[in-house]
Amino acid sequence: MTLAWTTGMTARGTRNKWVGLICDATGASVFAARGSGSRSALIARAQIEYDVDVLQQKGGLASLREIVQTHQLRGCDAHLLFVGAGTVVQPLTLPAMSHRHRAAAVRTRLTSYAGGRELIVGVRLDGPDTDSQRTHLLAAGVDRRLVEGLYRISHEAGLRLRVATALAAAFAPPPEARLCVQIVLGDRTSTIQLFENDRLVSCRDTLLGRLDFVSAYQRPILANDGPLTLSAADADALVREVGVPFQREDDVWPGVGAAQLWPLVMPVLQKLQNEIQQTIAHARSSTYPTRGLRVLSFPVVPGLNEHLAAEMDLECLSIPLEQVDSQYLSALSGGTDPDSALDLRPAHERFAERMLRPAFAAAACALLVILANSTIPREAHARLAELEPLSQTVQAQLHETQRRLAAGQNTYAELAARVNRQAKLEAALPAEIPALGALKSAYACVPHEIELEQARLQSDKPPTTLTLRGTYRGGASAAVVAAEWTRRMSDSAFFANAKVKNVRSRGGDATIEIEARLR
Amino acid sequence: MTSRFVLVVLMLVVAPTAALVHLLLSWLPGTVAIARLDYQTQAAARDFERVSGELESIEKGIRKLRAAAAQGDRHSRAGWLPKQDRQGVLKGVARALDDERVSVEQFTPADAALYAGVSRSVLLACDAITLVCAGEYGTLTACLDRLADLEYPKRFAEVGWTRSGQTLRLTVRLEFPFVPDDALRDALADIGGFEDEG
Repeated sequence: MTLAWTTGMTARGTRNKWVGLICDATGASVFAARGSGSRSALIARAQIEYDVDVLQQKGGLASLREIVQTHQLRGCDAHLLFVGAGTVVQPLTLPAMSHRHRAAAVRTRLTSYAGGRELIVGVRLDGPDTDSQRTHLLAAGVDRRLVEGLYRISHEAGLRLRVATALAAAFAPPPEARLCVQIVLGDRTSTIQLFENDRLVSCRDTLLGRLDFVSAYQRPILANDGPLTLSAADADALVREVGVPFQREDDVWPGVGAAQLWPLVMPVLQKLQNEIQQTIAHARSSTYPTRGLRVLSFPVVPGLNEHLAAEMDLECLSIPLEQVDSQYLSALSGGTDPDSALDLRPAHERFAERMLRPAFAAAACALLVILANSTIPREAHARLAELEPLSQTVQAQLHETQRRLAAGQNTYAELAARVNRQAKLEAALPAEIPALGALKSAYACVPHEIELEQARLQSDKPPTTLTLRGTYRGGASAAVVAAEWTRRMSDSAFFANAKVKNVRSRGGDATIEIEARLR
Repeated sequence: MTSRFVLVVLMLVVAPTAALVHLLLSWLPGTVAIARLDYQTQAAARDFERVSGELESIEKGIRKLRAAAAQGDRHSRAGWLPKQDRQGVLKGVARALDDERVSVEQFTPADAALYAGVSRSVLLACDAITLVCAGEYGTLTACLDRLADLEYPKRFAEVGWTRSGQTLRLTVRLEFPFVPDDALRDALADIGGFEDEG
C-alpha cells in the first residue's frame, strides 16, 4: 500500500465536502473537494493502492482512514467511480423484452467479458429504437468483491457512500459533435469513449494515464546544459504546466526547450494514439467516421487534446483550460445527471436508497396508526361504559317481561282450564226442564169431560215425558175423547208430541192414559 | 449492512408490525367487546320486543278469559250452588211449603248424589229432596210457584199430581246441584266411573 500526495490543502468542517474515488482493481485516486457540480473546488488529492483480498478484511485499509482524518472528511459523501480492471462497460443493443429478461441478458453478456467473476450490474437506458423495436442501453458490471470491499472500507473510514458508478458513464458526451471520441485521462487508467450523437457506442479502458506522462518526464532530458533528470514533483509540475509541447518552440523549463521534451513524451503519445485508433477501428463497422476528439483529465494536460486531434486529423473539441478541472470534478461529484448515472452500489444500498421513502412513508403510516389508535381504547372503554348500563337495563327489562310472560302464561293456562272446565260442566248439565209450565199447560189441556187423576213428569232419563191419567164418564167414545186430548196436548208449546198410551173401559167409565214428550 | 439499510428494514418491517400489533392489542379487543355488547343488546331488545308482544297478547287473552270466567261464574251461580248456600236449601224449601192449607205428608232429603260430570275432577253433586203435599190445586200450585221461585239453582227431577177422591196430592223431587268437596267428588267419581282428564 502506498500513499502519494499530490495536493495538500486542508479544510475544516464537513459542510459541502465530498470525496471522489476513481477506483480500479489495484488502487484508487482520491479526490476531496468542496462544493457541488461545476462549482466544486479541490481540497486534496491522493493515490491509494490496495488488494481486493485486503479490502475484504476488517480494518484492511488504513490509508483512506488517514486521509479522512487528516482532512476532517468524516461523514462526507463518497462517490466511487470504477474504471479499468475489474470493470466492464458495454453499450448493448437488445431486442425489446421484459425488465427481468433484459437484466438476465445483460448480466450474461457482461459476465462473459468479466471472465466469470461475480458482478454487480448497472444499466442505463439510452432509449428504445422505435424503428427496429430494439433497446439501446449502457451496461456496466464491477467485480462484486471490489465494490463491497471499497464500500466497506469507505464505511469504516467514516464516509457515506452516495454514488457508485462507472467512470465511463460519469462524463457527459461533448455537446458540439455528433460523432466524436472522448478520452478521460485518469492517473493510471484512461477510458476511451466513442459517442454517436448523445449515445456511447464504444468504450474501452487502457492502462495508460497521467502518471505515464509524469514518468516520461522523469527520464533524463538532453538539456542545453547537459542531461537533466527531474524529480517526481518537478515532472508532475511540468506535466501540469507544459503537458504536451504542441506548437511550442520556446523554453518550457529552465535550460529545456520544447523540442527536447518530444523524445520523452512521444512514446506515451504514440501508445495513447494507438489505443484511440484501435478503439475507433473496433467501432468503425457500426458507426460513421469519427469527426471530433476531446481529452478530459485532472489536472489538465495542456496541448494533449490539440496534439491528438492534429495527429489523427480530427476536430479538436477542447474545453477552455480553466473549465477542465471543474468539469472533471463535476463529473466526479455526480453533478451532471445523478438520475442517469449507472448505479453500481451493493444491492442492500440500492435497496435502502430505493426503499427509503416508502420506508419513511410506512413508518409515518404506522406512527399515524399508532397515534390514531392511542385514543381508541379510551373511546372503547367510554363507549362500553355507556353501553353496559343500557345493555343491563334492556336485559333487566327483558327478564322482568319474561317473568311476567311466564306468570301470564300460567294465569292464562289456569284461567283457560277453569273456563274450559266450566264450559264442559255446563255442557254436561242436564237440560233445563220447564216443569211447572208444562204441568200447568197440561192441566189446562184436559177436556172437561175428563177428571184428571194423575200427572207425572219424569226427567230422570231423557227424553223427559209427562204421563197423564184421567177418568172419563160420558156418552162419547173414550177413544175420541182421548184423541181430542192428545190433539190439545200436541198444540201446546211445551210438548213436541203427545199420544194415547192406554184407554181402558170398565162399565160406563173409561180410564185414559196419555204420554207427551216435552220439547 | 449500513445503519441506513437497518433503518429502512426497521421502518419497513418493524414499524408496520408494531402498528399492526398495536392495532390488534388496542383496537380489536375494544371493537370486539363493543360489537359483542351491541349484538347482545340488540338481541335483548329484539327479544324484549317479541316477549312484550307475547305478553300483550297473553294479557289480552287473560282479560278475555277473566271475563269469560266471570261470566262462567255467573252462569255457575245459576247452575249450581256455592258451598255457603247449601245450608239454606232446606230452610228455603220449608218456607216455600209454609202454608196452613197445605199438608206436607213427606219431606225426605236424600244423600248427596251425582248430578252431572265430565271427569273425576269435573263433576257436580246434588242434594235431592222428595216432597209429598196434599191440598187444593190452587194452593199446591202456589207452593209449586214458590218452590220454582227459590233463588237456588235447582232442577225439578220429578213432578206429579195424584187425585185420590177429593184429595189432590203433589209429588215433587227437587235436586240442588253443588260443587262437592274432594272426598265426595272422589266417591261420586268412583260411582259414576269417571276417569282422570287428559
